[in-house]
Amino acid sequence: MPALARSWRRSPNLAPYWYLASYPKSGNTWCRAFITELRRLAQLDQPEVTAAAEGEEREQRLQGFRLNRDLATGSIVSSRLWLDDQLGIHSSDLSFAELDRLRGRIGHLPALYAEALRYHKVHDAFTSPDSAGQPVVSTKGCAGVVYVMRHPADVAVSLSHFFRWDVGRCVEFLLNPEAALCQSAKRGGSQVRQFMGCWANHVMSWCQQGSLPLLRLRYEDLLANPHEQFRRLAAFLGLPDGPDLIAAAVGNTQFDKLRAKEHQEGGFHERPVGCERFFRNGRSGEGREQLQPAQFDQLQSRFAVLLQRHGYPLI
Amino acid sequence: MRTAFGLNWRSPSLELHEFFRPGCTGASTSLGRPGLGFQAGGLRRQPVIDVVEADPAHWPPLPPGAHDTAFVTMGLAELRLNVEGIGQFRVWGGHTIAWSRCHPQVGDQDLRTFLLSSAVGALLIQRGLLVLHGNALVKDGKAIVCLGHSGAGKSTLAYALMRQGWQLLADDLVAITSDGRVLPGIPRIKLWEDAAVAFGLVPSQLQPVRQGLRKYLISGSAIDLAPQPVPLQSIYFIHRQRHGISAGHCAGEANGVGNGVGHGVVHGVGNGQSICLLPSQQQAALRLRNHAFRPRFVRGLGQEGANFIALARLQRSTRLASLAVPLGIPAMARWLETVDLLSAANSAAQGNASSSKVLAEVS
Repeated sequence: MPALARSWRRSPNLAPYWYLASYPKSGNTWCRAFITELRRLAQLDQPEVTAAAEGEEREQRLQGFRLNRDLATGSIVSSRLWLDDQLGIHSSDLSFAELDRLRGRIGHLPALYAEALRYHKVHDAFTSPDSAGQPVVSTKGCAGVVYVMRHPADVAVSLSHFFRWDVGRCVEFLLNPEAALCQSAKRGGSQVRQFMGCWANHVMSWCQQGSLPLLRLRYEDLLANPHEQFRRLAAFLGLPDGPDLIAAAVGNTQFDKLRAKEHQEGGFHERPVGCERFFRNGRSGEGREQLQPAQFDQLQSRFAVLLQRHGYPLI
Repeated sequence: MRTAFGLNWRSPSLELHEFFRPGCTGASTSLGRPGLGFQAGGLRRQPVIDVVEADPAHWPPLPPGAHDTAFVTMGLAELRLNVEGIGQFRVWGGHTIAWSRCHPQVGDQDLRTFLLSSAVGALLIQRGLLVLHGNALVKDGKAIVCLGHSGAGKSTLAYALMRQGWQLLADDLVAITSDGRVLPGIPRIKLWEDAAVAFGLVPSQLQPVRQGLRKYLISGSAIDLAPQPVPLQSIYFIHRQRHGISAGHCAGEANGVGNGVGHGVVHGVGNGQSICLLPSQQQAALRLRNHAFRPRFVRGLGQEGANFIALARLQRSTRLASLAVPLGIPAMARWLETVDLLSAANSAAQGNASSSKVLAEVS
């Protein structure tokens, strides 16, 4: 066992952690499934750790953004369970604005009793209007952030199935400078509000922050060239990245296999009310096909600079 | 002097009006009725807890502990909690809570919100009590405890049960004695605005938990409180129901780590809802441990060993089940009319021979 790994075992509070940040429905869960599988194949984890990580993914898929579930750990940084543990109070007794000012100092410790791996899903933008310019996630001890991005028109289609909103409403959501998840102050929930702003704000907040090492991945590249792109992911995370291992992990987490697994484990039947299956289609280009031309143009014109900067040709 | 958790609370500078005041016979309390001897001589014998205002500048240094966070510092007999912008709390010896207001604009209700939850919970842990995060309700002299993490629907369920004749025994902090009785705790419920409205309450007529929050305190005469310790009958782990209940679903719920092949026993209760026994003793133990009130406090205060023993004792003596609560308050109310939560967990256990056989195989 490498010396670094030995020291983590002695003092788990010092173990490094990473963020997998993305706008929702952009490939975050796919990347996390790959990481779990790669680690399993490389025999880096005990079977129960792999089971816990897979179980947590399943819980997050089933929970969606609306249902309140008994999450076993706090691997999504907006989990109240995780925040409450470190704040020492009920986060629901604080306003969202009060919370956003504190959240940057929560999260560098693993959740008590958490057995899942420390690749934390984040849908928040890096900062919020309430965080006084500070990140809403902890940067202390963080080894880096993987930012997964996807063309906003495809995100709109995927969101529409996940939220059961019409596509037009999803386009508005992507354009909304005040967009957030779980933002109702009138009801409780297992996650706190996650401010995102418009799609471009989300991308820029993570890609232009200077606090954490960054690996930017595009969903479209993961689809087109999975072996190379997932190898980049593995290398960034300090995981084994031999070609055979990467090929096996990629093969085991292909979209159709994830979807079949979801069906097998009952995910389709257990979906949140109003939500379709999590792994629905997975391909790119649906936005161009399904959005009204005006809706597509609206997204493209508003985000033109950023799209071009990240290699999305304007149509 | 007020009373809660079998303790007398002396708080000269901060009115703890959410605690019960002996001798005050509120509209709904059954205290004061003849024959409730627990309070008569018991109050004088109860230990006294002091809640005092104090300047943190004069608090002795507390070395960092292994389980501290940016906001909580813990030693074997002491806990410090900093709620930034609101207050600081020092809980020590199992007998004293000192508090400090961050600035004069911080209201008493802001302080009470955090004192009555985290600080009181820490003190109860220091006193060696088993403290769970949930609420406790009473019917026919027996108590059920509903556990669940934030947003699981505990308070909504508790209020719905009260409207159907149950008495509230404790909310948020549930303290259980070594002989399996639940102590009377804080007689109030916190309801979010959506839930309050759905119950027909008018938010503008309710006291917010804190100024500006759309979460409200239901207390005083609105609560039918149970003033005495009550034997614990069943513990339910609450979660909101998903679409399409099935045996596989139930097993997955109970399993919690989601390998999808659990062995929970499904017990249909009216309208296709379900109550599931947990699939194994190990799962039950993990669930209980994770629903202790602030496990980090338990560990940081050096009470993990005692807590483990208390949890094991509780697990042996009490029926534990996972409870899927229907979505929506009207559906929940209708469902509650079809189910008796005093007996439901036991009924699930005795449900049918094949289910019991599965249970025996995995236990």
